Amino acid sequence: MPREIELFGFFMPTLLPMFLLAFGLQWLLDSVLGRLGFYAHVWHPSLFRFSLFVCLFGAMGLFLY
Amino acid sequence: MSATPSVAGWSGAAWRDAWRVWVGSEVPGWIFVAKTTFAALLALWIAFRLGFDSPRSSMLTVFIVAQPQTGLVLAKSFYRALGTIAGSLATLLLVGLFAQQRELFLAALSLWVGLCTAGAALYRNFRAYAFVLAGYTACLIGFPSALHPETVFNTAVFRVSEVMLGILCAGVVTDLVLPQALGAGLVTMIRGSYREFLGFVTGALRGRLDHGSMERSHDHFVANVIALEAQRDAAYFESPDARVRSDRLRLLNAGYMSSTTSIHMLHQTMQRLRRRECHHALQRLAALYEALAIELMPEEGVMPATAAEAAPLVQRIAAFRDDLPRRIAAARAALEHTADATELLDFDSAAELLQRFTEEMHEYTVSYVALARPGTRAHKPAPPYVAHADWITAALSGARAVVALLSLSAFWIATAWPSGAGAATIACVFCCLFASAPAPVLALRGLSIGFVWGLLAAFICGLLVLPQLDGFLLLAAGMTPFIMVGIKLVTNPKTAGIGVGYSIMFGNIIGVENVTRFDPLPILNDGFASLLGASVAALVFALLVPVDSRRLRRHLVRSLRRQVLMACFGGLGGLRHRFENSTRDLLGQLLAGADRVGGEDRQLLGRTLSVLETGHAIIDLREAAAIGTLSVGSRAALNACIRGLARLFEKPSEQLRRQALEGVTRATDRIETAMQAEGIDTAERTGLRRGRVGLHLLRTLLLDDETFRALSAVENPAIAAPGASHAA
Repeated sequence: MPREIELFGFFMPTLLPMFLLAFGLQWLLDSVLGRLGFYAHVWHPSLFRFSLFVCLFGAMGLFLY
Repeated sequence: MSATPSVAGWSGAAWRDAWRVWVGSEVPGWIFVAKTTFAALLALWIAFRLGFDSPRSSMLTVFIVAQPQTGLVLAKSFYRALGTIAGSLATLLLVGLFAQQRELFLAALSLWVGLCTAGAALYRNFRAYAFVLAGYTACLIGFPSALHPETVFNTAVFRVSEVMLGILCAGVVTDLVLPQALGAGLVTMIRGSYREFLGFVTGALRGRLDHGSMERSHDHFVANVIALEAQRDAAYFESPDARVRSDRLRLLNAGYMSSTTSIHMLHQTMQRLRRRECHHALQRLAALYEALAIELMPEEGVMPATAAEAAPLVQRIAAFRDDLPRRIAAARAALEHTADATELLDFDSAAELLQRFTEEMHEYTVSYVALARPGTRAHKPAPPYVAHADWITAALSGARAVVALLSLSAFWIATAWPSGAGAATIACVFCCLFASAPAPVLALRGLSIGFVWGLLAAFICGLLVLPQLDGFLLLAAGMTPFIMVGIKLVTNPKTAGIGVGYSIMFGNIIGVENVTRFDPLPILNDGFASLLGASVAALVFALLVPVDSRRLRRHLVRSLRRQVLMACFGGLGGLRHRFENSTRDLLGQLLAGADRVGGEDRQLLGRTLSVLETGHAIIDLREAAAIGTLSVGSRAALNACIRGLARLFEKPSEQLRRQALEGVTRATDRIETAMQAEGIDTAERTGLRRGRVGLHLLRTLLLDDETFRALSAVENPAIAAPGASHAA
């Protein structure tokens, strides 16, 4: 995959749309987990959420580098 | 309390107590200070590493969005991000249109800022913040571009990146390190307000509360409704759990609002009955009230501490509600022997209100109990919170911002002062930020004091401390004490304004950039520019139709009365909630700037209650007028009556009052004929009876000199004078 993509003559790192995608995915997963009551079994829900996001974003980043 | 012993004489237990008190009261504040300082320095470090244009913007963003609770930070961050993006796009468009013409560009920019300020004044919650940001981001990017249009794209990209970085750092640090969730506070608040309301209701129903405490608690209820909505809005960003509950919270708030209104209307009705000495009706009603009070809370009963404990109340209230028509009919039958027709009508309207209140209390309790169950949806669609948006206030705020910005731009062009753009930006920030504040001049004074101290601190730190240090770690160490002072000031509500001013000024002027310069000249120049900008904003607020001016307040008080027109002409779907909600919101706005010592708050509350009573009666009437089997003539009479009332509330006068009364009398005749007609079913009869009761209430209100005086006091001082004659 290209590391930079062009949008209307403006070059940006592919990581940026990936970041947004990861953010959206995380929001989705977060809602599902919250609805299932999963967070009642987690010690530090925000830390879990943050780590989940890092995992998602990191996994996507692997396609690039 | 005993006399304080000397410290040397303290026992171990006393030391432990003192320690616990200190931990309880001071530690949360210090945790917040440490977290914010850490987040700010982290943002600064990353910004340096990424080579941003002005790393300090990231640090400033952290200062600005910093709040103790996660939800508040996330909500503010979200709207800040939204506003920044909108502002950047707008600037790109403006620069594209007017790149060659500096004057035209500045004029267009001022207009945009004016629009954003007006938007910020329309909304008074976090949404306003998006408008503020859209306005001042345009300034931040736009002013440098007025000189160098070719750099605008880069400036915009960097600005957005810097803000996003600051937001990310603030959000992640607040949420990860010793997080303080909004949810816990929200639960306490909801439980507290339910218990308090239950105690209030039982006291009121048993006739144990005097008029003064009724009014005071109403004031409190209004504040609660607005606070709950704000917290719900922010908690939405916090966790999926809060998002699931968001609808139910909204429903709860709507139930709370309507029950508080009903109980006060009930109280007003009783007051009127007492004034007219209708002892028989009062006696019967008191028995009914007592019965409800026992269902809600037996004499020796305990308050339900949690939503789960309140669950049995739902059945009890429902049983009472289903039994209530029978009880009312029995009481009415007993009353028919002793009371005349008017007293019977008075009894009917009080009984109608009691039924409404019982229904609303049931709704409120159901929503409260539903909160305890995880994962369930709201039991019915929640009505949205309807804020009262005042277009005139908004337009004025917009005009203020335009004037401030245009005059500073002119000053900038005329003097070619290098920091002129900074002054204009600061003026714009404040015009937007305080567009909806109740006392902007006072707030600006606090900020300006903070500015002076921040300038001083930046001077000391930037010129005496930092030149001695080398490398980021030492820079951070050198800045930490100065940053902590500002955030510590923010944690105390009394000095919060000063703290914000200090932090903004310090962060802005310290000017940590990629190429460090230690030069007093730009520090002073930029510092004075900020002070000038703040002064111009304060001047504009003080001179251009001040927000706290009597004229503007009178306008708001008049809009309070005109809320009745909404009840007269608004679409019937969900009208009751919309009317109630926006009236409440307006009252909240008015109370924020009310003169409490002079009794203005009591007057406002009295006026609001009259408006609410009238509005609800009119809505009853309109619902009766919408009944299908009503004859054309009757419907016309009801509509004419509503129009007459609308005219009266638009601009009260004795003549219109007489006409409205005539209209009410005619409508009463019609509706009584309709009620005796053959072939109407129970639902229609109930509707008609409600309309009839509403008409009676309207008649009572119109005849009541005190109510009329309170409502028309704004523009008719002649009527407002006590003892003025009336021919009703």
